Amino acid sequence: MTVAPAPAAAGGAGTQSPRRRRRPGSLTWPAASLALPFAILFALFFLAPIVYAVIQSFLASRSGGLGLGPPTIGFAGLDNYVQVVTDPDFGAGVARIGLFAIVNIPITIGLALFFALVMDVSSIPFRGLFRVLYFLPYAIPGVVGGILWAFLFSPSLSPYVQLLHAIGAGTVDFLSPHVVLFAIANIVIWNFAGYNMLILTASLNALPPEQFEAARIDGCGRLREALLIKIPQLAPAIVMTVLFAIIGTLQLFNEPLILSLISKSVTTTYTPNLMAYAEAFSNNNAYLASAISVLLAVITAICSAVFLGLTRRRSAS
Amino acid sequence: MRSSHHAGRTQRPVRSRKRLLAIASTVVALGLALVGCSSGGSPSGGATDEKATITLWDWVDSSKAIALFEKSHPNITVKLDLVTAGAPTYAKMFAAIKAGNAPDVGLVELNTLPQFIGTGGLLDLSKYGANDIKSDFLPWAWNQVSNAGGVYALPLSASPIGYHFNDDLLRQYGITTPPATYDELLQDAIAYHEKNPNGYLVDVPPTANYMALLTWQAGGRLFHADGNKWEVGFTSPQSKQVADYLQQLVDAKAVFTEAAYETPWYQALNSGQLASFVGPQWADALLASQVASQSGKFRVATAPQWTTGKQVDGQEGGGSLAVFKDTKHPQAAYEFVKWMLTDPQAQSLNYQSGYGWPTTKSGAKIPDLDQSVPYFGGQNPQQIYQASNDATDQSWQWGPNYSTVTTDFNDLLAKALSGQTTIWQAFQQEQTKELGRLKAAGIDAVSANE
Amino acid sequence: MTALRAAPPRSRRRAADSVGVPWRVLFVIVLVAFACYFLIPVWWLLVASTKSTGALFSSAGFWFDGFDLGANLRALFAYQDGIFWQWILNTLGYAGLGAALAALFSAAAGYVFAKYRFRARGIAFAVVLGGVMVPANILAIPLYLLFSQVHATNTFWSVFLPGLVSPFGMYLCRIYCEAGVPDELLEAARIDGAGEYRVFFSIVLRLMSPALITVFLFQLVGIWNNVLLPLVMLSDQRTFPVTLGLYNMYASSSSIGAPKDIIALTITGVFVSVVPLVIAFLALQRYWRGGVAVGGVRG
Repeated sequence: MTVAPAPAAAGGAGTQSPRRRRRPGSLTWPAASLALPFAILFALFFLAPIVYAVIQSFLASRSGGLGLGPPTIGFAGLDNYVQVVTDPDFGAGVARIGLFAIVNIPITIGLALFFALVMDVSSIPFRGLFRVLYFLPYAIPGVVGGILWAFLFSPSLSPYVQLLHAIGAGTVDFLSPHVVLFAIANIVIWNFAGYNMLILTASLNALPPEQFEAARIDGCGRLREALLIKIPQLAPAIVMTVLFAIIGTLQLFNEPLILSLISKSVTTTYTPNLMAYAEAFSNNNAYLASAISVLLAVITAICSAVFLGLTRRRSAS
Repeated sequence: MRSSHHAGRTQRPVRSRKRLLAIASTVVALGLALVGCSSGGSPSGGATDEKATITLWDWVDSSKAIALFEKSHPNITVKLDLVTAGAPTYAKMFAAIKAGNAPDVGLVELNTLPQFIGTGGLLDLSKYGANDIKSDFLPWAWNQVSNAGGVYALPLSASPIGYHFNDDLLRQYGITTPPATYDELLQDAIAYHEKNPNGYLVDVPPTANYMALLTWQAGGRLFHADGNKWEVGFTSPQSKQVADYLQQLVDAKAVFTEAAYETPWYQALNSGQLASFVGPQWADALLASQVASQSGKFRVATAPQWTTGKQVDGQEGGGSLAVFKDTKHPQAAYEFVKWMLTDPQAQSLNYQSGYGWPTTKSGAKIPDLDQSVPYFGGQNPQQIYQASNDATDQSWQWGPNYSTVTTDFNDLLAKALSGQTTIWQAFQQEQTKELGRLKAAGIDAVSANE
Repeated sequence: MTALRAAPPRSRRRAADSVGVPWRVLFVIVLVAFACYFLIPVWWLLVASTKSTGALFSSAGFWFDGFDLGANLRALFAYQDGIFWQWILNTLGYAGLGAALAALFSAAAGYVFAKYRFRARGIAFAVVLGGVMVPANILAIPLYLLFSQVHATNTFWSVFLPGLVSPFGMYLCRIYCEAGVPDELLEAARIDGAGEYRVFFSIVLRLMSPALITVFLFQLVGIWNNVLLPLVMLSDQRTFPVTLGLYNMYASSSSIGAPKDIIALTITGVFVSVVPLVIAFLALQRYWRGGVAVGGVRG
């Protein structure tokens, strides 16, 4: 599993040093020791927990009789995995974040792309200001933004509910079962659209201007220029933002955690990550939680690989 | 055991004799520990000379009682961590047991205590003399904290129930006497909602606790230990009765369906959207603090019954103080727990701070119980709660994993109350789920209906 | 890395850069509408933090009603003996110090990967790249299990140490170092007799400072956005970061032990924690754009 190097994006960005690069030198001990802190920390806090989670997912705690005696921990084979996969709540949770991804990612990235393209037009006034304002929510930590929106959704406090009521739209319940997923999507879009915009803006700035001048001489309009030239050029950056959005969406946790405090529609199995959390802590079953985490990691890897495979094939053909 | 910390101050003879005893017992305990006994014991009342700081996880502000304790036990300092009520704190406690850094003492509800016993993370207090004070407690309360000779916590509070109602609102919409049966409650609720379309007479919270309470009242059992295996009864006839009854209320769209004791629920009570609920005595303190705007308007009546003229009540909540196994000061921790639950002044303070109804025989006589409550417009609800406590069916048992039941069942009930399934389906799904859970944990369980 | 500096000079494009007036008006209207969407919650927060609990529930949300910000702030900083200060201090430790060290370690490792040849370099780098794809949330529970195995949960270290690793930062530093640190300079320094550490600390680190700032910012956001890790690791309020503290205040707002004005306190707490972040963000804006260009375009 590797990240898409997206070399095309760097094309024309002038990233290579003009100096001739030499073959890297051989590693000496003093130099190797420079990489040591990172290597140790990476092994301890990235690799070890993953290995440990895999091991735990094959164990189970068992106690006989009434279950009031101290439990024994033993090898459980695939029991935990069978239990997770056959639990309809897990399937429902995966399906829910699937739906969430399908709705949310196109909107987030679509908006980000739109913002980036519009702000690339130099005759739009206050572009810099808009850019800063749109990026601002990214400064607010996810959980704090979540609490903020929870207040904005809560029936008794929400100014939006007040507003909708005042203009005669009735009483809107943002926390009802079918609406709450969109309420969560809204928090995520609010939080991340500006960030993705900034990524796309940066790659847009790195595109060579000559092409656009050529296009303009050909009489290509603004809109067609955006559609025909800029978007294809941005493709690698878009692929990257979508990829990270997919990974982020599958881990959805903060926003539903907060809304679960005020909406009974957000259950403890609402997303796979919430389910793992509930199993590990409320249900005191770390082994089952490990199995959920491992499955989720596998699903994430598969989704990323499929997405990259699809986009690669398309760009190759 | 640690015994080397001696203050070295001059003590009265009684104290030094006690100390001698403590040292002696410590030596014995040390010897026992050396031959492989996991924890030592000493007679109750000993070892108070040990300088100790103990941490208490609690969601009721017990700082007044703690201050009193520290005054009479100068060697023991109690550090109070005010934690979130219920589930989130149990999660922390389970985690801390596993990580070996649990607090010394924690508040655990009686319904969740068996799951904690099952982790092996609680200290068996019988080794510290807990059985000596057994007779101070009401027998059924004692049964809830003891198992096979071990005592894993001391019962802190019972939670008799009552019908809490906003008398102004009820009268305004023509209900002059609170409903005595659940049938009457159903009819009243529908009539009330017709007259007041923006308001609800009563709630059906999507919580396992509420379902357990109503099943308990109906004479059903969610769990029953039959010899060495559990009978699981979410699909018993009584549960069916409860589920079908509540479904009628929900289908009539005449009830408020948000979880009780959470912000939206308090807001509904404050705004008058919700006029009454069946709930425990400890809700009184919460009403006074969270629903202050309705002060003076609420009253308490006997909870509705399934059968006319025969009071059978259940309980909702009820707490205990448990000592965790990893404590460095087991004796001091036990000393504190014992004092909190048996000292007369402490019992008064506990009641005032909102722990609930006393579980000791002496506690039933504290003057605080017998007082008119300004929040209830001067009503004295003592008789009602005492009667409810006496009418509680005491053979009720909590299963071995009630914290898990709460997570699973609350989710299922939330779906049922938002119309995705029926309440009865939620009971049936929980039955299946729970049997699977117990099987996976290697616990023997069968369906009670077979 | 010169991605941003290599961006074409604006003047060259401006000449031909214009759209018709109707389009311009339409775009500006849309941009203003979205600006409202992004800003209104922040405005509401500003207004709400000035209200008493009573006013919160009884007045219109988007406008002021009384001015109790001072009282709210006093109550917030008095909450549980001033624990909010402790949370702020903790956050500086977890996110600030953590991100700074993460940037330093990333730079050191990135430099080694960029400038040295060694066995299994390719595989090691691929493993680290795999780490970029592993999100923080999925690691939290396994990390918790691991820490509880060594009885180290509920400590400052249990949240601080995992924050010191940034695979993405290492990746970014490697790319930056390959392009932005000339080999000739390193060789010249070595010929002058400088040891490896001297070369790194006095030459490489200085040249890499833009990348360092970027990694710092990314990791800062990464740490303060991750609430699951402190949520599972910490139970002692005194070790909480602000985010978890606020979550706890919000979650316990219906608890019996909670003060009556807990909702107003929570809102004020959210406000107080947002303000410095927003200011810091605006101040460091250009580093963001630079960093995103480096990380985003190449990543």
